[in-house]
Amino acid sequence: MNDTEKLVAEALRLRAERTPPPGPVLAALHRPRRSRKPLLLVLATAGTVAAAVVAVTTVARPPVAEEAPPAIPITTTVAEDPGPAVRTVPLEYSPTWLPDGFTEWRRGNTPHGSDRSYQRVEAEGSVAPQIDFSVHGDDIATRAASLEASADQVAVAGAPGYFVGGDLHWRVREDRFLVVTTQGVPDARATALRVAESVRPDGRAIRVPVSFGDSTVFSITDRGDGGWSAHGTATHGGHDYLVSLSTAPYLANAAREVTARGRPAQYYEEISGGLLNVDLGAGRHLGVSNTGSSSRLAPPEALVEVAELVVVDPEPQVKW
Amino acid sequence: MTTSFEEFAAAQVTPLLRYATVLTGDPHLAQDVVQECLLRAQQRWARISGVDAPVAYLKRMVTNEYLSWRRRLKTHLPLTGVDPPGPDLTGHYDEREDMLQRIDKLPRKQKAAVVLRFYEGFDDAEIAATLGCSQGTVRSHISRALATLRAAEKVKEAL
Repeated sequence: MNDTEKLVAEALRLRAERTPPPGPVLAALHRPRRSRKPLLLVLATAGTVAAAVVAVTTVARPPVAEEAPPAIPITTTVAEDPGPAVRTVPLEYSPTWLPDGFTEWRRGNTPHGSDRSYQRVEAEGSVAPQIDFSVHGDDIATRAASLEASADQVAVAGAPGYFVGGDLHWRVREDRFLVVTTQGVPDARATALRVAESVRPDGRAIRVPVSFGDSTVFSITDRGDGGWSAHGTATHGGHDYLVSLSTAPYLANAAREVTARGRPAQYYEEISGGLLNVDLGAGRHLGVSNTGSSSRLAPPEALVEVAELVVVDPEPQVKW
Repeated sequence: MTTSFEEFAAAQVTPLLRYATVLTGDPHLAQDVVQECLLRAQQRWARISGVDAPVAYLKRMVTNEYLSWRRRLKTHLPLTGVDPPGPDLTGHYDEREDMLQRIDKLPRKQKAAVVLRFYEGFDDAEIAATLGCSQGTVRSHISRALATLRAAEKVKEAL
């Protein structure tokens, strides 16, 4: 191994030391079968906020209607009353057409805008094809300059668009880029373009299932078996934490029984950090863990403090 | 004896997270990627547990997720921003951090090949199986990546 190769290996080992704790991942997996029940039943027993099913349909033909196939409605669900304290973020835009069989299974909000993933369930053993749609309100000038250098340009409903590999970016207005990506989708380029052509402004807001302070960054995943898990981030006392809300408890031998949010909680010492699991009742569990530093094991008091300050949506939106 | 999914996940989640962290450079994304892969594996465990090497299968899934999650890579915090480095006691820290930044700028398949070779210690055949390409392509990825990294080193030295 020469010097460059040795340095590469040392650098990668350094990065490996920052591996995050496994708790939140295991928590999403370890859901006892006996407690598995349909999501609607969980919601019905968990609270009173009603969810309204809103059928999103195509409201207008795109400006390049001759080139765009007719849109097919996608059904989605939006909760109407966010309730106090629960934060909301705007969707801004939504696709109104997807290939047959694709359903939304993951939704989130990044520092730059909303972020959604759609999959089609495939046969056992094969990787499900996926389509992602995201809104970007960041680094517009840099993004535009970078994309405009691309020779692979295309009009998306009259707006300037650019293919970068299989990803389709288009500037829908002065301060917004939208992006459609595909993976494992046949005829990816045509599909991406058709999804993009179907995108319409969407004035709805989505509720943040778990938030801390000013942060509204989150992702929520529908596990497909009635279970779901949501993740967010928190910074408190100069440290970073991962916060999770899930139908899955973290199952292990508890290192210590503690109390958080007035409820029984368990503190675990994992190889790469501390993890707190709070049973919120109604089949929901709040997790707080410190992010990847091998040199710091967050004490239970610190995790409890974060847990107390987390804003939890009593009725997370999981079916869209 | 067939391993249950729960046993498999408990044993493999940390190695998979470590691999995903090295690959993505982002602990949040690493958790997302590994969680997604394990959830998929859980749904198909009856089939996956029957393959010769479920661990290698999962590593392929994680690699594929990384290679396809282009957009998310841009929207997560960089690892150094999540967990600021501590004091450098070896005098070697900046060099490794610089190298990580250079590695992060490599094309994704080149980066994956580099991680598999220099972190996982895979040979050409194992990397080819993981990336789904020929051994010749693996050698090309690694050769080009090292040439880029060496060139960047030379530029840095010249400044």
